[in-house]
Amino acid sequence: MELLPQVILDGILIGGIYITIAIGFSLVFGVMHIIDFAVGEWIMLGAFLGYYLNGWTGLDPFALLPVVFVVFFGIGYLIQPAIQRVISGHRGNPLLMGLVFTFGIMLIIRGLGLTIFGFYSRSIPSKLAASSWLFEKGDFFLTVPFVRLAGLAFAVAITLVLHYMLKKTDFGTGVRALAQHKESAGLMGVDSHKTNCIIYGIYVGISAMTGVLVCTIFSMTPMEGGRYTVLAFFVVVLAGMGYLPGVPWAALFLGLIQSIFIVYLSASYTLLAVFVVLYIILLISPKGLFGRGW
Amino acid sequence: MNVLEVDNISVRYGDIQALWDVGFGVREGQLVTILGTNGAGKTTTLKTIAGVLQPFSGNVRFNGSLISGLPAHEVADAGISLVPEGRQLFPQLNVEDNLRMGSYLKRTKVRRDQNLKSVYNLFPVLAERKKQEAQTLSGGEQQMLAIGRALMQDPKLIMFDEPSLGLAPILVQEVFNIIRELSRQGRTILLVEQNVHQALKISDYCYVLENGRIVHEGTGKDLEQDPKVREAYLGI
Amino acid sequence: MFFGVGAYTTAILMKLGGWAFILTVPLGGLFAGILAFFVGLPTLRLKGSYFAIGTWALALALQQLALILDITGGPDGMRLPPYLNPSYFYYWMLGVVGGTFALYWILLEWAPFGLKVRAIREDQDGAMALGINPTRVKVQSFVLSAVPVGLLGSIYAYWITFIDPLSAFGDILTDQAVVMAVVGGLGTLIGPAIGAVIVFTFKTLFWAYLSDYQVLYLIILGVAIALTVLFLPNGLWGTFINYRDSSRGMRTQSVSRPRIDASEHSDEQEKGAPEHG
Repeated sequence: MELLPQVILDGILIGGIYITIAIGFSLVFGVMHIIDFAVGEWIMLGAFLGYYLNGWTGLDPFALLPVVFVVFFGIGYLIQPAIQRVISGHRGNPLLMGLVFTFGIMLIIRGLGLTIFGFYSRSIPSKLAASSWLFEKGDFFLTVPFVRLAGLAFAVAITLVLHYMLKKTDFGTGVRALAQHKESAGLMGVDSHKTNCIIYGIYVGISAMTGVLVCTIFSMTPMEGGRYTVLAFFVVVLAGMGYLPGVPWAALFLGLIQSIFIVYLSASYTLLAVFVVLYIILLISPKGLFGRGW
Repeated sequence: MNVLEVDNISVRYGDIQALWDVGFGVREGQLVTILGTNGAGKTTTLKTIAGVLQPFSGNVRFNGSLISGLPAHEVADAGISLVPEGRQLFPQLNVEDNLRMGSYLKRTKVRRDQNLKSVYNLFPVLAERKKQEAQTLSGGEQQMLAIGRALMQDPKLIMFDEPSLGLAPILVQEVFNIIRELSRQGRTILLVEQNVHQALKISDYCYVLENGRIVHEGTGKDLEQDPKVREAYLGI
Repeated sequence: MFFGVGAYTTAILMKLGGWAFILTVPLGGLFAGILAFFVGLPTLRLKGSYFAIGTWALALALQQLALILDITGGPDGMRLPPYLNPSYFYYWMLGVVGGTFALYWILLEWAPFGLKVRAIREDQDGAMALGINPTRVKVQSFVLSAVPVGLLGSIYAYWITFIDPLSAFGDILTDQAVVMAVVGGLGTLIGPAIGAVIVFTFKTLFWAYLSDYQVLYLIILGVAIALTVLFLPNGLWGTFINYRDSSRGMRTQSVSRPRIDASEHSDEQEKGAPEHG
């Protein structure tokens, strides 16, 4: 039996999830130089909102995504000014202070999450989860779980929408201008406060939707947020900090590494393996796979 | 009646005061120049008018309404545009996107295509390089792009911050020709320069800034003949 | 992380190698230093704070390694023969802390190394122009900061006589965040020491009286960190110093670099107003 095609496919499907875990994170870093330690916590919160909404309404998690996005867009929009305050002004090291601040936010969210949701692992049921697509030809066969395929499709859709927004709309050009030259962007009429709030809202919204996906495909506990923070960070460093076009490729690359390790070696070495790979790449090219990082 | 009225503004950076009660005015259609050496406070003056910096005392009025205190993007919307020192383009946006950023505001978006056409007419080289990233342009081309970007904003007042800085002599001449041409078209211009000869020649009225204070003022001709100015700035 | 490395070094050498405790302590420091060197090499080449998360991620990876290896006892951890003499460890700890302080004091205040560190902190590009290799100095500083932590880990392992992956690699990041909140990112020698004392006191008090409310601990700590960073930009210690200096009528140097731009102007006015009023 040939394992490799299935391994590659699994890697791509996992990588798809990693795209949505990391893409908002990278966007926020690129535009306002925030490294958000709470990214995994937004994912966790999104997962639980999805879980409870699904319990109350009985709707499929994929149908709930827009609601989750809107709620968390609002939260991100409202919280951004506090972060902006921390990273601007007369501070010794704004990036580090942002890190410490979001770390505090992370502790609060995790604590509240544990208080409200408890320690148990939850999973959102979806009609898609039951079925999968089987491809067989002699020795060669592939299994494609529908729910994971839907996750990948979602990731591709998010990537395309962001791409369109940034490249084709005036707002997106303004965002790129803001990232490249804040003062000039202001002179051109870009309201940096509002733009930052919107971008941060989009990021928190995407992260929360990712949480719903993760909770549908796998499961979620309030303790697990940190894992996704590490993953997001790995992908973004691999892609080059703030270099958005690198994110999908870095995510897929990481997914492949993980899938290969799980099948051919041992699942318990995955994080270590990923770290070693990251270490070697950083040693060779400090600005990520594409040399375009910050 | 003055379009721009700068009323005794003082500005500081942290503990360092850069401007002390600087006041002047610009009339409709005038070309006014602020002269001064490095560190005299010229750039600070323009940035304060543009809303990038805020004065801690004094205020700035534009067309009769108060604009000091407004953030840069609202000052831009009021009709003031700044061609900043050192161009300050968006390095990784292409030429056309840089120009389109000039018409980011709703007020100017409606006239975008028309303005693009006229900027490309004024600077044909920019049309040739539409899709090139701004950082790949030469210094002269970058200066044209910065001016073009400001024109896209449909400004009622254009401020130039040392537009000739770092350019080859032949390009310096060209930049001054452009500014003179814009002035002839009836635009209101506030120019900051170290190139005193050229600036005095084209301007209607001049102020001399020294250590954050205005020390002389007069028409270009007056200042050219003022012995103090001649000694300090013209090296005669 | 370096704490865990020191702790596991001592535990493994004493338990499986039958080494004497005294010999394992320097090795704990040594391994921590070596690890710091290899971690610092790629991460410290970058500007910004990549390496803060980088070290955290490595700590997680090491924690995972300690969980799955046989030699570390996996999730069950390692138990060492007890040595019930608290004052013995007290003197060890005091020795390491005192020695570290003395060494740092000499290096940072008296030796050329301190000048290099300050030059890089003030102006990295300028320092490079003077022929200082910033990555090298940063890696040296990083190693220098890791060694004492490794030593303390070694001592801790024998003192507590029990270590597991969670206690050895767990809370480091939280502690660092608290210290950062206290010192506000300023490179002072005394700040982190005060931060560490606060962390230790807080933890001890918490475990003594509130250990049933671990979740509450997270929330309180998170709120404390967030509020400190939000309202005291120079950290608790920096704010205290500024307050003391200004009440003596002295001007502080720490905020002299102007950082003003479009989106900060409202911020600027708030801070500017009382000065001129």
